[in-house]
Amino acid sequence: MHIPDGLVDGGTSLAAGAISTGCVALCLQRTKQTLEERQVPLVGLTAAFVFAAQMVNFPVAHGTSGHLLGGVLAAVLVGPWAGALAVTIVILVQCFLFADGGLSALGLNILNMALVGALAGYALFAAVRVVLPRSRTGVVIASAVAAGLAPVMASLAFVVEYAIGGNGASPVKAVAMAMLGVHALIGLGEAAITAMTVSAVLATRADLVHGGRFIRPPATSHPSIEIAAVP
Amino acid sequence: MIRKRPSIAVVIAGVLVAALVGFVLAPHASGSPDGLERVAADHGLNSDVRTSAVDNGPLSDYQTTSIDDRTISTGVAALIGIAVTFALSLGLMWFVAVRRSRSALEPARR
Repeated sequence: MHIPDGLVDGGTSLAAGAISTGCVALCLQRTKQTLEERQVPLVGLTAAFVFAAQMVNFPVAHGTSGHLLGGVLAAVLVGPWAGALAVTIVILVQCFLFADGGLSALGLNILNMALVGALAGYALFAAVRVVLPRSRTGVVIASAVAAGLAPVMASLAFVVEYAIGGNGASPVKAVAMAMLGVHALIGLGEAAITAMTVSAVLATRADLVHGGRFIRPPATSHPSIEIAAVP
Repeated sequence: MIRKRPSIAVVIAGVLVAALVGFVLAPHASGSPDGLERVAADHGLNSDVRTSAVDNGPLSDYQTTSIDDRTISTGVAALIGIAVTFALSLGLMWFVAVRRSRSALEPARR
């Protein structure tokens, strides 16, 4: 869902660019405060995986495809701030190296896919997670629910941008219905890929996963005994 | 629970997974327009759309222009993209998160 040049007018694109720049600055500041050095390699891996997975379009309906956006996946793996930066880098590379998404629409695309996906998507993940058990399954289910809705949120952001400065003649309501409908379907793919990936990483190194910090350790390991047992 | 940095084996395994997805799966991705492209075409939103200013680059549209075979061309483009994305994000995170914790006199905030 990369917006090309010319679909949304210059003023709206510029405003989105300003909002994205501000949000990215906030993400940089928060990452600086919260990211642990040991998490750094996982941020690189997350960005690389999201780039690769975004290339794999899957069919959703007759003649239409969708691809992973990856915001929720990145946020659950490395936290919302570093996650948003990882997807921002993916969109920058796609724009400058692969001509995917317009140069003038860069701010719009970062806003819709990286920031809405990772930040709003993570808020949704956090809201769902608190009502679920503090287990791996709980984290995976919360990731899937948030990821399923992330493409819908991104398409909603596009509809707002189209309503403000869209260059098409089609009424906003018709564009909104079409966008939300197809992205609800794409959300199913986003949810499946996100759940599988989060589940695989949790099974390998749950301690590295940001979302994994919510998992309650098994009740049998008493902390004081554990410390006493260390020679 | 272990709380150490990932071993080099874990990082290599992660890069290999991304490379496999990019090199093996990406060339066989659906070629249909994505959700936004489809809606834009159906609703006539494309009248003012221009091709990107960087469209004539060597990796434009996820093809390596010097390779004729489309499958390999896409696969190689994916590998280059993965490598660049990995390097840029690692570099940024090192600059933001690691340099700070090494230069700080007090221990990094947890």
